[in-house]
Amino acid sequence: MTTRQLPDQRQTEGGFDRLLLALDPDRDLAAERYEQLRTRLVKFFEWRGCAIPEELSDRTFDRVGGKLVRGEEIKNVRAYCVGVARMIHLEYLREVARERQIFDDTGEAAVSYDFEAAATEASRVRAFETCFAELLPDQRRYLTIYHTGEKDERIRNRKTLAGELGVAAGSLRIRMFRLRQILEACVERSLRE
Amino acid sequence: MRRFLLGAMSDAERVAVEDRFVADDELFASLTDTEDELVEAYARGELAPDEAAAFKQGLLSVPAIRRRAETLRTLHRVLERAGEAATPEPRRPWLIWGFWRYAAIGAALVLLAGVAWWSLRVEPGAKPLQAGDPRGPAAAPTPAPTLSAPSPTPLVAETDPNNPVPKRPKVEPEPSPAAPSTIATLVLAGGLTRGTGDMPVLELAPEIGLVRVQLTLEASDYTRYRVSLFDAVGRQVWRSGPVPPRGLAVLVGVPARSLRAGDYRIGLEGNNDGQYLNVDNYAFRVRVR
Repeated sequence: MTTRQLPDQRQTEGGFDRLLLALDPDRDLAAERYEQLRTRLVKFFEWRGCAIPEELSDRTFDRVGGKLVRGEEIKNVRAYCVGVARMIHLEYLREVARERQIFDDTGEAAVSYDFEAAATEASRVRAFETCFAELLPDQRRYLTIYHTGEKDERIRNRKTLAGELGVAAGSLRIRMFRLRQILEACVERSLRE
Repeated sequence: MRRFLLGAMSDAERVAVEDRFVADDELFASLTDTEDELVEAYARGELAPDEAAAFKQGLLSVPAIRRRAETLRTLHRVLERAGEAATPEPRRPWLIWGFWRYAAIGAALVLLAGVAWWSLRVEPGAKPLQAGDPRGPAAAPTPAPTLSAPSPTPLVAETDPNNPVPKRPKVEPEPSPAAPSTIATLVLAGGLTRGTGDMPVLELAPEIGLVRVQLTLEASDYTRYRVSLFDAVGRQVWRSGPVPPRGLAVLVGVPARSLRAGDYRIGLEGNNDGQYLNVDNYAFRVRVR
C-alpha cells in the first residue's frame, strides 16, 4: 500500500505553489483542479498496469512543479502533466525490468507466492462470511441484489435497485463500492486477529 | 472502452484516449464504469479467455484493482453459499418467504396426507388393522422423501397420534469446508530474540506441507516486501516474490520441505521505488516430530 505523502513534503513549496497557480489563479479552485487532475493521473497509471500509480502521480507533479520553478512556461498544465506522466511510465518500466532480472533465478519464489494465496483463501472466505453477517439487513440485501444473477439479470436488478433507492446508477455503484470497502476493512481486521 | 482498458489499442489510439479523458469528464466516467464491469466480469469468470489474459497482464497488476477483484470474487462465493437470491421488489411481509417456500410447504403437506392415507388404506377383503398388527405402523414406515425446497427449514408434521408420521430429518446446512490440514501457522514479531528460551518454536509434523508465516510490522511503510529465510549458518534457503502488506503484517507461505530441525532467521525487506531495504529480522526454531 503506497503511503501517500502530502505534496508539501515531496515538492519544494515553490514548485507546488507554482503548479496550483498554473491550474487556476483562485487558490480554492486550483486545489479542486489539482485533486481532479491527480485522480486522472492515478487512473492513467492504473490503466497502464502500474503497481504504484499514486507514487508515479506524485513523481509527475514533482517534475512539473520543478519545471515551473525553473521558469518553464506551460500553457496547458493538464496536457503537459500527461506528457510527463508518459515519460515517468517509461522510467518505471525500466525499473520493473531491472527488478525482474533480480528474480530470474528465483522460480521457487514465484511458486511460493501461489502457495500463500491458496493458504489464506479459506480463512478469507470464513472471515468474509462473518463480516457479511455483521452488516445491517438492508446492507446485506443491497449487496445481494447488486451482485446476484447473470449479466442481463444483474443489469436489470441494478436498475430496479437504483430506482428503489432513488439514486442514479453511478451513485449506486459508489454506494456498493463503499459497502464493499466496509466489508474489506472488517475482513482485514479479522485476519489480523 | 474495453479495448483501451485491455490494452488492445494501438499506441496512437491509446495516446488519443489518454489525452482526452484527462479533460473530458464524460469519457472519464465512462472508462471508470467499464473498468468496474471488467473487474466484476473477471471476478465472476465471465471474461473470454483472451480478455481474461489481457486483464491479468494489465489491470490485475494494480494492487487496488486486484483487491477489488478478490473482494468481488469472495463476495460472490459467500452469496452463493448463503443461497440468497433476492430480486428487487417492494417489500411486502407476506411475500418475504416467497412463493416457492409456500409451494414447498404445501407439497409437503399433500405428500404427508398421501402417506397417511396409504398407511390407513384397507385392501379389499382385508380386515382393518388392529393394534399390534405387524402390517401396522410398528413395522417401520417408509420415511417421506426429502423435498428439494429452497429453504433448509426443517418440516415436521404429525397427523394421527395412532399412526404418527415420522418426522422429516432435520436438514443441517452444509458445514464450511475445513482449511487444509497440512498447513501450520507461525506468527512472528520483529526484533531477533536474544535468549533461546523465548524463541518461537515451530513443531513440524510430517503431514505439514506448508507453513503460513505472519510477520508483524511496526509500520506499513512500503508498497511491497520480500521475505528471505536463512538457516543457522547464514545460508539462504528460501525467498519470496514481491508481497504486498496486509495491514500491519506480511503473510507468506513457506514450503515445509525448505525447513529442517534447527534455528532460522527471516530477513524482511521493503521496496517503494525499485530498491529493497532491510526492514526487520525475525527468529524462530524448528522441531521436527
